[in-house]
Amino acid sequence: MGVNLLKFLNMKNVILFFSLFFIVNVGISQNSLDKYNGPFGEYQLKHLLRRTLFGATMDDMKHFEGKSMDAVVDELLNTDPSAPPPPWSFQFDYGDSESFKTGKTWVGTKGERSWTETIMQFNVSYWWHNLMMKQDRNIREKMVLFYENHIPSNNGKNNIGQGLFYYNRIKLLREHATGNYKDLMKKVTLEPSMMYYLDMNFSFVYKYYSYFVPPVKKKEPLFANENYARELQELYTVGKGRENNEVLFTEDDVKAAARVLSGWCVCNNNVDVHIKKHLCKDTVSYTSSFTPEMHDANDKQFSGLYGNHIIKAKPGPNGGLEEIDELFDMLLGREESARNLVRKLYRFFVYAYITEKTENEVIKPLAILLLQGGNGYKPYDVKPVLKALFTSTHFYDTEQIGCMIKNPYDLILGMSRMMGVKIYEDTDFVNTYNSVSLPAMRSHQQAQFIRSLCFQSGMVVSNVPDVAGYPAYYQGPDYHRLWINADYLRARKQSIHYYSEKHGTFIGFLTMSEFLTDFTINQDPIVIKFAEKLETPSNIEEFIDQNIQYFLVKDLNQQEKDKLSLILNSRNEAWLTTWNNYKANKNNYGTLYHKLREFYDALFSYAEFQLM
Amino acid sequence: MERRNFLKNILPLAAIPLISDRLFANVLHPASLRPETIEMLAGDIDRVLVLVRMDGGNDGLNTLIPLDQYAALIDPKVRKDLMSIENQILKLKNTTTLGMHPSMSAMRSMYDDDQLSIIQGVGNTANVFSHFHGIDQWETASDSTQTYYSSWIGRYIEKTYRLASTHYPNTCMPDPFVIEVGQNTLLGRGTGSLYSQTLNPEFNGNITELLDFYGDGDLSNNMKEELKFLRQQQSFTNDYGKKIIKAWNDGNNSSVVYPPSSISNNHPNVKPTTLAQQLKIVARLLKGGLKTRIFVVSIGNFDTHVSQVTSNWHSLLLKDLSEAIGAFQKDINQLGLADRVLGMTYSEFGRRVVQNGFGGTEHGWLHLCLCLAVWSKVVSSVIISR
Repeated sequence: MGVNLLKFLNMKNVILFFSLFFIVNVGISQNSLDKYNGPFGEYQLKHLLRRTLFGATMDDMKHFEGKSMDAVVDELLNTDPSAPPPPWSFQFDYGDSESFKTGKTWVGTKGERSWTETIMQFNVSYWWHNLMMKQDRNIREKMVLFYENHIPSNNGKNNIGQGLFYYNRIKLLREHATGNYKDLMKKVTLEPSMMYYLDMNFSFVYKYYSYFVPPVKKKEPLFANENYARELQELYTVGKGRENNEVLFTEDDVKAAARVLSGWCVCNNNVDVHIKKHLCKDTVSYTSSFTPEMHDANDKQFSGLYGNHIIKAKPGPNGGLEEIDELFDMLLGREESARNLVRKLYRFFVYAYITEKTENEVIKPLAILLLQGGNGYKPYDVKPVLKALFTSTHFYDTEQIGCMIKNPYDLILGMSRMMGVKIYEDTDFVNTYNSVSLPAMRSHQQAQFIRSLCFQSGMVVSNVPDVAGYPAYYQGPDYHRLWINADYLRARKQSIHYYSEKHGTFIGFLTMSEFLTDFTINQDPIVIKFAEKLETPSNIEEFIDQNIQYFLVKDLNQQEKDKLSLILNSRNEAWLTTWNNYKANKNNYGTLYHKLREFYDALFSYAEFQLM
Repeated sequence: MERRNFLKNILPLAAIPLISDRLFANVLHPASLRPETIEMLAGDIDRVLVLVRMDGGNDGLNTLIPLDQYAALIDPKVRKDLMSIENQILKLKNTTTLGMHPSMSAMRSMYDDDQLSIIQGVGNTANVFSHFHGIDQWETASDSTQTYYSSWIGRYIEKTYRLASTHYPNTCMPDPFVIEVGQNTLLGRGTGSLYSQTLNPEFNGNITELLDFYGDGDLSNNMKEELKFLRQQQSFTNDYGKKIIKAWNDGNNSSVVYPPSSISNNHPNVKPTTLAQQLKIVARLLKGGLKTRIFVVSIGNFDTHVSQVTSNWHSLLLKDLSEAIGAFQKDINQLGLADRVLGMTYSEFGRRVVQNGFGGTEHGWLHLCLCLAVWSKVVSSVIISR
């Protein structure tokens, strides 16, 4: 039953490892971005996996064990761009019966465009959480989360087709997870979810009815909406510099970009008859549509910060796209843009704080790599940058290991994957009675549970609080420490294990079965199932050491271990007895279940558990 | 000096730094925080400041409406679509040139009762109307030439409490320096430490205690810093949590009804405004004897690029703001706390005079559009213009 992996994690090996590591490190002086050429063992592998996956599970470690750093990084960066199976209806009696068949997907039906209720957001959200829970062994899910934070869109703002738009957005982010940033940004710009979110939708230079609807007396001019044009520059391209205090574009640049981006709207079947006639030839596909007459027909002059670049007016039906192409060439052509993206990547994958040294030795050279591409890569291909980062001396320096505060997804999904939550497959939708099959329903419940835990702790996907993302990734000077305020700390604790006055019992992750459904007698508690996977659970000292090694970023001192032993030996019963009683008869799980919950509650209370 | 007189005297003084760019920076500047300012602010230890952050950039011109320029503003090329109907605009005493948005009757009453002052035309000059620059400048009191990473509140705490701010909680300051309900702002940040405790807007007296497992040691400098921070937060959360619960249990609200959010009734997809709920928590904690002197609450969704008027958006937001503050003021009046409490609203910037054609407004100059409301039992109903 036991997985042998944890054998390697016993303390003596680890201590030996640390000392080897220091000796190697002291002996060689290297530049930060030089390829790391020290030992690549458990310690380094685990660090790499924690940063690129949600937690490093026993199975993950076993899978990569013995492979070279290059091979592991290549595998992690090799993401599958193809679309996952779409979300499916789990609600009975909803919408038109043709489109919303229980257990069938609504994507591609007539109903995908009419279903507007909040329930559709949840449908997509649960689907997304399921994808994260059963992630492949590569960086895709983390990159999607990175982009969700970096170029967010809050689906609460769309009243029409919100589920569909968000589904399309996630599909797009997955497709470009380790692809080209410029391509992604161009697509995101014209993606309905973003167009609604930052008001590019119907950003016209004339009131359309004054232009199209007879009797046309006088065309009424408008100013193009500046919302997206501003955030595009401030957040997604040139940014604000390392200290967030540089002014890298002007108010006139915002206006000029808004004019470049004018003339677009999202077509849907809710729009009025004039819009259908003049602006939206296609009201079926729910995509963005360009109307040359509504686009600013003048040249767009940018400031000296952009080298006084002028985007010449480009008439005709393709003018809008051509100008957007030129806009992105101009925006992303600046080194500041490349640095801005690299800093965001660094803060997400390495550490929140960028020192002067890191800026010079890591950020700047990576920005040049991003800007120039090379070796078969195009400018703004993200993959070579990630490869250079994850194979750098800097990344494996002890300073960068175990210093990052987990975001709620790292915490909750990491805990759930590392403890071995069993995932219901949602591909088996319908049972013979034509209702949603139990496993499919349960897969939604699992996602719902995980989502609710993350939500409490201040982070939930498809509901990003701000156009700049989650404050922990943009708000200096504290950055990731903003995950740890009093309210969120209590929420983290509650997610794990706490006594609820309301329910009169303990609730939280540690009380659940391995399927994350409520614990009942014929289902196995996750804490017990997990303990059984360890190498020598019956030996109290080894059990404690193995858990510390697996879950925490560093060892605890003997005093702390003694406290943990007290819990395992509590209830006037030695740990060994408790364990043996359970092994002898699995119906004697009660005492073990209580002890283990208290044990993990304590273990996960250490500050060391909040780090990765 | 009676407290009432004292506060009356202090208010114009306290307002000066907020009115002038230069003084704003100089007075609250870490290096030159003047001793007399500190003394003034620290003099009366039981006084409380409640800050209301209006996220997104409020359209000040639609909040305090210049009646003398109404004819110009109603021009279709200016902001016809955004203007309230002239005879619905709320009249204010002592002025014929300014009126209040029709949905702000609660705050108008406060003004009539000498409980509200308004400072017009406040702000820093900005090169770019960025939400993030804007709010950071307000909270750190940075000017356009220098960036600070600590808040003016944080620096004030460090100057005022000196030793207390390095070893807290202690007998000198047993309770949290700052309580933020609902949102983490920069205001709790000092030069080295975080001084705020956050509370959920849903807070109802239940606080989950964290377990007493802290650990020690580290493996690197970075890890050392992060572990130190985490362990500290863990211990503050528990220590202050007990104080907060005690104040909650000892305190109460009066019979004043805090209104439900109008915006969430009309726009079910939008996260409801919880400002009233947040202020209700503040009143109860104060009544319960919490010695915290700075409370930060917030209300979002002021970034009205579209549908400012068509969906009644801005009007509903101002209603939520006004009714929440009105209820809070009544509550603390009845609870006998009002002469200790001063409130102030702020927002990152104002909005442009000219509408944008989507029923909304783009980001605009602070000194053109923003107004601050300062309220207390003992302010005079004055409007200070620049």
